[in-house]
Amino acid sequence: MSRLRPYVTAQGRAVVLVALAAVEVVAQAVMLGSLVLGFGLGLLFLFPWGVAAARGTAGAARALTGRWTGRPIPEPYLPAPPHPLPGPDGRYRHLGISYRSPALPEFFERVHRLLSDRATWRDTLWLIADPVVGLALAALPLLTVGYGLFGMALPLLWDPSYPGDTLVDYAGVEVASQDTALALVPVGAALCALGLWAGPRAMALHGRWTRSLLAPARASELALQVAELDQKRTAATDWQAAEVRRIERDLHDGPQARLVALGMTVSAAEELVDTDPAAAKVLLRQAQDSSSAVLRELRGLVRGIHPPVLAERGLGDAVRALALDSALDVRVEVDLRGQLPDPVQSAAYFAVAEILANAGKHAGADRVDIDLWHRDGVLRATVTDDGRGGAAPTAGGGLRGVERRIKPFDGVLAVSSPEGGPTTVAVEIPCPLGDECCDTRQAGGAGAGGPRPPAGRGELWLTALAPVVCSVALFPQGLVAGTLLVFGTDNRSWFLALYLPEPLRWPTVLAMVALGLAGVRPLLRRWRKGGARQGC
Amino acid sequence: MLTGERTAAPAGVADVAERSGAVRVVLAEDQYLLRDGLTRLLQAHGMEICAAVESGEELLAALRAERPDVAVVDIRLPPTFTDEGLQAALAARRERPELPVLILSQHVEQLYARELLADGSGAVGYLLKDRVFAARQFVDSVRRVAEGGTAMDPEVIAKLLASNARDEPLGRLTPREREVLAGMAEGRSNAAIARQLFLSEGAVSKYTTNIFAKLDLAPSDDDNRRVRAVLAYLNGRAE
Repeated sequence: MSRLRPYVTAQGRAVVLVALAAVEVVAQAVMLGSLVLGFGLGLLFLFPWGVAAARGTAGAARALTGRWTGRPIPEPYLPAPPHPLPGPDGRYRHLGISYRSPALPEFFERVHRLLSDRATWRDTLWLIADPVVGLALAALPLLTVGYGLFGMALPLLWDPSYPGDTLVDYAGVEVASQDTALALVPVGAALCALGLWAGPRAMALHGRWTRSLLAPARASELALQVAELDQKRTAATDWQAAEVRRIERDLHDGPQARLVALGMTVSAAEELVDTDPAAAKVLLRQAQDSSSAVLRELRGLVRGIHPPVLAERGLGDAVRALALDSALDVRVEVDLRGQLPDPVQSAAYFAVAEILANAGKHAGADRVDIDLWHRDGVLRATVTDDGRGGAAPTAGGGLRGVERRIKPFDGVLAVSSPEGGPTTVAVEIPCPLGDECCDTRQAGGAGAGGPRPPAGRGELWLTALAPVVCSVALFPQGLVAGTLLVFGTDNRSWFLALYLPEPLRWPTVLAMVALGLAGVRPLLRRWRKGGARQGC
Repeated sequence: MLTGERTAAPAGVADVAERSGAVRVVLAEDQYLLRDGLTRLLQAHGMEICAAVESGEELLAALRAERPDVAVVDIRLPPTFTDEGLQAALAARRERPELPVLILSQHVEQLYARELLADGSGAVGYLLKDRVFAARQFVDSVRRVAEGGTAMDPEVIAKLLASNARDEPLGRLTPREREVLAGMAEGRSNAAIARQLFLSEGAVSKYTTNIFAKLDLAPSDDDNRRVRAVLAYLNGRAE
């Protein structure tokens, strides 16, 4: 039963696709109407509505296909334009015209962005084509199954006493007697099976077709990435500048000032050494103390820049050392094999350190569990404490700082902190470990699904045509003709084998079946491979 | 703290240096100035530097060839500039478990201290590089380690004590007892603790008896064994 399930599901999905095609026809009318009215009659304000209708429908198709194929289709649209900024005179300029309110320039910008977004036109193309393609792909298995069921029911339906045209034509055969009707039952069953068999294939094909038009075009994918990277770069450079400033200030206020004092103490001792050796000795001792203090301060500073254990032992031991030095009861689990890139190590270390400090400072926790592991190209760290909970990233807060620190690496922070605890803070940073390399992941956020290169046009045609050719050869010309040969009917209809001289009939039927099977096999293999690729 | 110790240190420290024969030292330090300074310092106090090397590999080779009385090792050494020195020292100690090793570093970590103390056989030291400022005390530490004793940096001990602070028996110690405990953990003898805290040796030994009773440790008159017991206690508690 469960083995039949995908086939039945595919039939259900085909029904949904038929319904979707109806919606698409409406959306298509709205979109084309908004184009014609917007640019033909100047009713420009209609255009965004048309686009909205198109995007809504396309979004539904994306969601359905994403769910059915298990691989979500990301939105391909360019980000909305930034809000226009007023000029020095408080007015907004757009294309040489100055406006008092930002509404019009913003609208023009939006229209311009919609027009220049390739995704808009791909959506439109899809809206025009999918009612045909989608309907065809959905109707094919549905109708085949329906026709097959009809064939199987023929002996029940066939009524010789029915007045008028009692001859029913089924699969090119005139049903003239109960015997013919019975003989056609296997044909009906075969068609029914064919329809069921074709269902998942047709749905997969539709998935590919949808993906080929509705998945982000390379250009918009890149544009999205550029926008995202730009933002990240700004955040990273800002953060870095602030960090350098902090280090400068710490050096200036701490060790530098102390070294000046040290120098002065030593020169005072130098002056006293002949006249008052005892006092000079006291001063030199002071100088030694302050050099110790400078070293202590420098040690603290170095810890804040790049902890020595991190440099010497890597992330795992650095976090262990952190746990040992913590006043809390900290348990650390590390599962890292191989060397992480230095910047990621550092970011992860400071993230964990900050979260741990928060647990002690704000949550009033006693016990903290830190887990650190690396799997599938992602470094993950979770810090769980038994404190009072209620933690949330607030502006200027420690968790925001953690977010800023991991953001340049596409890192994400998740906080679960119900009132009353426990609090779990999870940090994820995608990065390769040691020799591993995962450039798809590094390519960035927009293509997070690991986009497969779309099938070539030739391949698409092949996948579309092969089932048709093969099924024609296999079924009517092969199996059906064979069935008719067995029963020896006079009606030759369009069955090639029946027109041939007697000795050639059976070889032709067998050749047809062989051709059909030969065509189906590579197709099956291709689909299976496609499925496997989707799975990984 | 260092000045306090030094002012308290009587002339007796010096005769420790003269008492035994020349201690043979292998020195590993990659910075020339410090290597040179340490060589002079140790030589001035009657020790023999049988090798002064710059890298982890050389260190291991020198330790095997020279079989010194003590190795004075910087944690961070070329070529990797990670914990090369520590690893070489630990490897050498695996080959020759009683090999005395004194680790020097710009920073002290409980993590490393615990690794050094893990085998419980003593003859280890772990000091900040700035402890070299207090020359006599430093030399004393080298000698102590060479003799199978322990020399832990006060900063390491403070961290160890802090991470054991929630511990029930430790909480019952009086502040004075905690000071004596820290002194013991650093590897000092009763006499040294007495000098440091301006107490009589009798008072210190009374404190130590109390501490051992409170921590439920078997009392011992042998300094080294006593130190090892305290460190094992601190080390084990926080594991």
